[in-house]
Amino acid sequence: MQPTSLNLFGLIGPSGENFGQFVHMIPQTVLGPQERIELEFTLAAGSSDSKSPFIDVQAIDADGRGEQLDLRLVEVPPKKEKAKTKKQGGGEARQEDKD
Amino acid sequence: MEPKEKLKYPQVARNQDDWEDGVSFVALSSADIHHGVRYRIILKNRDSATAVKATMKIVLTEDARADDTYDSNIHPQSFDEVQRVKPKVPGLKESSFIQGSNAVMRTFQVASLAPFVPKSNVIYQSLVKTGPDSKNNFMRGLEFEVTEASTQLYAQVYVYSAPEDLHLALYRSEGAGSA
Repeated sequence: MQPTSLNLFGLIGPSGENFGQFVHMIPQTVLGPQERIELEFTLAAGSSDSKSPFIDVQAIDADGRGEQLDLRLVEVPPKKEKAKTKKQGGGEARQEDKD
Repeated sequence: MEPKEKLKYPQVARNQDDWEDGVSFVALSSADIHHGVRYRIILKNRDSATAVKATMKIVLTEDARADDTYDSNIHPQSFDEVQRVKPKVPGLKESSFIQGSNAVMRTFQVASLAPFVPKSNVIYQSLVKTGPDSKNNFMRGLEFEVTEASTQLYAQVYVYSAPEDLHLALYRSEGAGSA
């Protein structure tokens, strides 16, 4: 599955600031055995270190038998080689984050 | 297959994995989120034989700081303080944001969209302390009136530290009924 952008409608704005709070739902998604969903995001605003971002993620399985879902939040290290490759088309790399 | 890249785990303030009344429930929250860092949320079906149908909700708050002083102030005092901010995207009507569109749904490969359209860029919050050593006064109700054909109300408790249960309720005024 493609990473779903958190900036679905450009509500966050071109600088990624002042979005307040963003809620994104992924409803009724079927996960096969051992299957996973992965979503990636970056807070793009570079000058907002004084703010305290907070993330809350919840997932339910209404027909669950317990201990079937596993939820994790991880930090993705930057890929140096890809960054160099994309430097030539820098606009594309930035667009990926903003969209 | 597990990814081979070396992943860091942000400090997670809450990590729940529970099951109640036939509903399997997992949740996590973290304040260890930084600008310019790429994060990945992974929801996995642990079971090796059975499929699951999961619904996931992600709430990202830009600035979750609360006042250090414990009180029961509510902001805003009135919903009149909250002004709608129309999304500034050329070529799109405001209704498109609320209803979504087939093009957007196809792009993001989702069956439906449930965007949260803020009326303000400000997160209104209140920090309340109950129990011993507190004023023991609970949060007052915040009255508001819905004058539109439909609307969306979103309320969330995202920082808590207490053995007590939390209760969030929406009541219809005039004492006639509650929801």
